[in-house]
Amino acid sequence: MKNTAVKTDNELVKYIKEVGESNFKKCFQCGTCSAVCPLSTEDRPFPRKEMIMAGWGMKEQLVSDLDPWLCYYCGECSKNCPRKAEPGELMMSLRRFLISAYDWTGISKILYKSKYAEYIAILIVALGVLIEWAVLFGLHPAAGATLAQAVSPDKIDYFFDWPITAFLGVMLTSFIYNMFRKTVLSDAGVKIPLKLYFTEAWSLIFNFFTQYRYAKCDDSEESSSKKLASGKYNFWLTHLFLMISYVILFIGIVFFLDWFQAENSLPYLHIILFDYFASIGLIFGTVYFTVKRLSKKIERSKFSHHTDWMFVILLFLTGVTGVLLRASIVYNYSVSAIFYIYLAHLMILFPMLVIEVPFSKWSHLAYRPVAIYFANLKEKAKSLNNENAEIS
Amino acid sequence: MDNNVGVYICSGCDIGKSLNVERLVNTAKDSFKPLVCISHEALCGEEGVNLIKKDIEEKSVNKVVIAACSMRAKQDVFNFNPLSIHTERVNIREHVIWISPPNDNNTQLLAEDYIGMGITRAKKSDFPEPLIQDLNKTILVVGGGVTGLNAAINSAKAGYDVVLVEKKSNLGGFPYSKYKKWETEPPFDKNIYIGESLNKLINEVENAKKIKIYKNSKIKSISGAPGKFNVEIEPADESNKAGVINETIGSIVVATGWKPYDAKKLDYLGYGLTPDVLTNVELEELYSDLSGKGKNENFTLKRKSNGESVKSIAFIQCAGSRDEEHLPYCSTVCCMSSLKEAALIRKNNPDANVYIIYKDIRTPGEYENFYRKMQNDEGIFMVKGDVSAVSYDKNNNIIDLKVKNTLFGGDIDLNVEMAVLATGMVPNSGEIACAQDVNNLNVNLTTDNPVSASGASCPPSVPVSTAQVAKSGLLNLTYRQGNEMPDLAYGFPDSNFICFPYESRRTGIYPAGSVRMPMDTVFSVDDAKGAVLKAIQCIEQTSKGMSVHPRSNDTTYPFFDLPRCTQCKRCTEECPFGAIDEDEKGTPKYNPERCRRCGVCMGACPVRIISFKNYSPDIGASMIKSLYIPEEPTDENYRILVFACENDAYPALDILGLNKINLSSNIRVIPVRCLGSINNVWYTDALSKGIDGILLLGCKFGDDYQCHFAKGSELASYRMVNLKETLTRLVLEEERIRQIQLEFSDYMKLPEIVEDFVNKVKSLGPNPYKGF
Repeated sequence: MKNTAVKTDNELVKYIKEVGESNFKKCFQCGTCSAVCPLSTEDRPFPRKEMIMAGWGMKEQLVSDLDPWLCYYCGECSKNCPRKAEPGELMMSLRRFLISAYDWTGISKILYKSKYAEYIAILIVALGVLIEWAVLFGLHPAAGATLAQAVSPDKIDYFFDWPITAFLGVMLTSFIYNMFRKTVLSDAGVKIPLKLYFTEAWSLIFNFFTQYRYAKCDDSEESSSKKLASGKYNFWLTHLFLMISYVILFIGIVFFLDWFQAENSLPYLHIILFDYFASIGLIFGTVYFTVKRLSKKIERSKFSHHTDWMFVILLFLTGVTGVLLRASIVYNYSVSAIFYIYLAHLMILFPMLVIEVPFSKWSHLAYRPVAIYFANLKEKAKSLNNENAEIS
Repeated sequence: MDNNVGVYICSGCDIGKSLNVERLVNTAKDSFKPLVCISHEALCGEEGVNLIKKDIEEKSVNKVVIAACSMRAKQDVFNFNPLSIHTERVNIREHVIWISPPNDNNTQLLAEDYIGMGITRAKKSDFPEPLIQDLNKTILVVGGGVTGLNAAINSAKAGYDVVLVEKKSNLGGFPYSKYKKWETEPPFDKNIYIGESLNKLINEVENAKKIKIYKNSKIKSISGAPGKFNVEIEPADESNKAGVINETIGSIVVATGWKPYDAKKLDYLGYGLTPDVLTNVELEELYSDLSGKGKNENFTLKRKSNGESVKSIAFIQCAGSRDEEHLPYCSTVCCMSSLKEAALIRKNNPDANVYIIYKDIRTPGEYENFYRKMQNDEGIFMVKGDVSAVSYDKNNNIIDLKVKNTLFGGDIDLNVEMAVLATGMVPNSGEIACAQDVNNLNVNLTTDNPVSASGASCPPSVPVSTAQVAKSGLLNLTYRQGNEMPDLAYGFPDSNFICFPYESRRTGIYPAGSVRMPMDTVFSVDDAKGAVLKAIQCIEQTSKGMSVHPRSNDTTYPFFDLPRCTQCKRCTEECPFGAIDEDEKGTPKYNPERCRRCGVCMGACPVRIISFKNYSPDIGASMIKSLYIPEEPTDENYRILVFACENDAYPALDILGLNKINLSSNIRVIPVRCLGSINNVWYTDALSKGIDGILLLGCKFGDDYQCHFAKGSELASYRMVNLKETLTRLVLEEERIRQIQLEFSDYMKLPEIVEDFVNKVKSLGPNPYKGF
């Protein structure tokens, strides 16, 4: 076997230290973390492997590593670590590092490093929204205008929703391609047959919509119903609820904005879906995670980075202003009131989308299932290669 | 001398309930006709003790035989003037009633035999005549390093005169000329430059009135014994014409420290490839230069090859340490010193990557805090693994390290600009005289001796058959057994550091600091104090005629009946402490001040001319003869003689008794000072008397020996080889004698050991000499 020429990078070590609270340098490689991890496998002994790679600042290996995305931070490793090196938190820090590594613009790195940079970025986007709004609709609704006249849904679609969707789409796609390049293409040892990309696509969709690996975070022998009853699935289900709500609302707003601005209160499907299910999901979810982060009782929520807080708070405020906006429309508030609530809602929503989605915490919604998909691809390709090798 | 024996049998502690005490009294009276023979229900009570005291005063009883509890109990109560009263303790509690069934004939016989042996020994014993002398109480400290300075100042503070001999022109030793940091207090993470506190200490020593300092000096020779050593001090530099100075010395603390392992032998780790591969000591020297002898803390470490500041550096831990080819032991300080050096590089070369390649990081105790702090530094990279190759890329001026068995799951390559070999410590305990000298000394070379620390192919430890030390150049003792302290292993002076720290096998000479075992400056400070206390103890005890450890306060010493000596030299060779010199003819010249009273010489002497007043071949033989050996060959009539070492085996038997665990009633225990003090005559006496088997219970021997006299139990086992011939001549099976190595804590194994041996002897059948 060829020796690995090790290059260490203490700038990277410093960066990983900055974006989380793990004491990973204290690791003495006992391997307890990987032994207790319910998700770690023999071929992928995380987080032990990541502890040493991070401790050494091995950039090349870290950037091509998909395993941080396979970890759901159950915290067993941190609980059992004899050196209190917080391996679970390291995996979190590495996810932050990876988000900034996939981002070729370099913006995420700045946002992760400095909370002030994040505040300023959010303010800039909010200001941008305000200016755009002022140009499109003015700073006051015209006297006697209906809502549709004061805030035209078409204009919102043309000037806000669709450009932003396009922007996010391009950004995220390019980042994911970057990720693909660094994690899959860079691995010369694995050649993935084209067919596999399609046959394995189910794992992308399945994991996106179920986040099933969360359920595996508890590997005790209890039955699923017992786990459900004793609250062991609470975190997973709440997270799933929040995520589904978010996705529903996003799709709804981008493609069916008219519905939101209509005053119908009849129990149509979309009303149940948007006004009740998704709104509750968004607000309940964010409150739930805020409470967990404040109480710091479980390992997952023990440490909160400023980007974590910003994401939860923006999401919560987006939800609250959205519900307020919707209520003001349904209950026929004055147009000027709706006008300002609408503005406030957008000034929160857009910073959330522009900053959080590609450059910060939101992006894990995309990276996690993609990473599982890539990991599956690589694994399958490897076993195929091995089979072929055996045959020949 | 009057033999007014008084026998006092206690019936307390259930002795009266388990034995027929009246019968014991009558048997003793009939067999030994003592002046007094009575029983009492609580001898250790005030009434009982007064009874004995009254007999001493009124009936002039001078041999008090107390048949009661173990000699280890109630020593403060049965405490009569040893110079005029012989006190013989017969253990009929722990060794009889607590390990045997009550009111049984065999138990009764056991007690009778013990009382008989006790009376016999008391009758045969003389009173000790302690050698009280007015001795010199000056302490010689050899070496003026951290240990030596602390030893000197502490001796002076305790009120003793000190002579300090230092080879170099300055005090302060190893750290003095190095950029050495001294972590003196928990949590040991503050690096304080040593200069200040060391200079303070040097000043204190130089200004102390009680300390006489010889710098640039070495020891030409040491002769004599504790309290009257004659030390010849000569200039270290041979060109110096100053003459030899004589000093009379009481006891000696050896604080000669260490020297770094010769890095030239580490060419496989790249030493010599480029000036950028250096040892930890050389790095310290470099720091010292760069810092202007510690005046300036802020300096940049630059490469020796091109003068550019260092950006990557690897420390190779255990360089030639814990390696059978080089130093097989751990030097304990290299981990901390490398971490400390790494900290300094990180501070002064902030961009540098520091790699520490280790087998195990050993930062004991609170040093762990420092390790954790360094581990957390983003520029320090801990690499567990073995360096398998070091090569030098001349074109790029880069050192390439190949590291095996890493935690990455494979081998790795590291490219660094500088590499530091963390070499270990070699004790300064004298140089081995090689080749022809060794042959002349007629040392019995064994092939499996470990390679000595200084790399010479001579045996560092001395085989048991001889005690010749093939070293010289440090203390230059004029002892018959060689010029230096014997080693235990790897060149460190023999000192069982768990049981008897600071002890060497030369009475009155106490090694301290890193010459004794690898240690750092913090530990050396305390070590110096410990050794000084030992040295003081030795002077004070010796001047009172008392022994030092482990037979502290013993006032007896061996007497040599020289006219009968055959000059066989066994005593002079076998004495574990080199106490006996010899003249040209080979007649022993005994030095009582060097003696530890173990009796190994007594055991060695084939013509039985060596004896103590209360312990001699004759006394032992008489005790054996006093035993009652029933002739009828039944199971309970087998008699097994047990020689039990007083230090571990005898207390172990006591503890077994305390736990009331039964032991075979066939055994008869005779306590001995050391198994090495058993004279072969006792075996033949016992076997011709009709004893069926002999069991020796003594300490563990070998490299991790526990013998309190270093070689006693090993000698006993060695002498058994000769004994086998005797047995063959007597047509007796050699299995009738067995030696068992026993630790004090092994007492629970005793029933099995004894049972096993008794069964073995029974399978051999009774001793055919029974009844002759």
